[in-house]
Amino acid sequence: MDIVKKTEGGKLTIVVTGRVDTTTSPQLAAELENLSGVEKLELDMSGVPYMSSAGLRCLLVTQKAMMKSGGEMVISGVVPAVREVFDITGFSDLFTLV
Amino acid sequence: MLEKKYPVTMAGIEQAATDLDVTLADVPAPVKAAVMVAADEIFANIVRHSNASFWSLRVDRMHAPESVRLVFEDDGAEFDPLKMDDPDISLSVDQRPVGGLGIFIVKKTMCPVVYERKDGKNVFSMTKSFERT
Repeated sequence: MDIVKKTEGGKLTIVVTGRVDTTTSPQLAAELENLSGVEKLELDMSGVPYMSSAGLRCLLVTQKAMMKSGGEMVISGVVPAVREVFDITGFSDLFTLV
Repeated sequence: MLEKKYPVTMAGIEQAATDLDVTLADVPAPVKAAVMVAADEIFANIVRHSNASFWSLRVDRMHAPESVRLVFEDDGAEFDPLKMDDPDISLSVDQRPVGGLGIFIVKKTMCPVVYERKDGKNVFSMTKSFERT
């Protein structure tokens, strides 16, 4: 998995490429750990072919943190296979997908 | 196809995912993605919770309808993942507990899913049928 981060003012864009599963999700969790000062977070997942519940866990923890700090989080570029997992778990209703 | 024992470690999961990815090379991408996700949920359960000394994965391919069956075995503590309660997926972000979604995803995407305790082992199998378009 590759992660590229780009900051513009209070906006942080994180581009994730590769599968997000049990073995790779700790790397994503580490990148999402410290978001102080981030008002808007965009997770670009157009390069993620699939994501297991280990990845969903990271996303939910991050969404909880962003809501607590009054920030905004969007997820972009979700492929159909990932969207299906979001739909099954109700995550489609918890996140802003663009 | 594929039949192999793996160490009960993160490296074992990584190796199994790589082997499965190669084994399913000819399967349509969305089907493969669903199988890889479901497999990851079972890998994680075995390695984190079973206290097994080994685990194994076998992959069978069937026809009419075309399907992929994954059979997992481990010699760890008896555990039937199908007995776990389903999560409440209507809860808001604040109320949602973190975790507990893995087996639910497996149950929703694979059919049938079967658990057996056999000869001191947990045997879990799950099948994905599909059509080529």
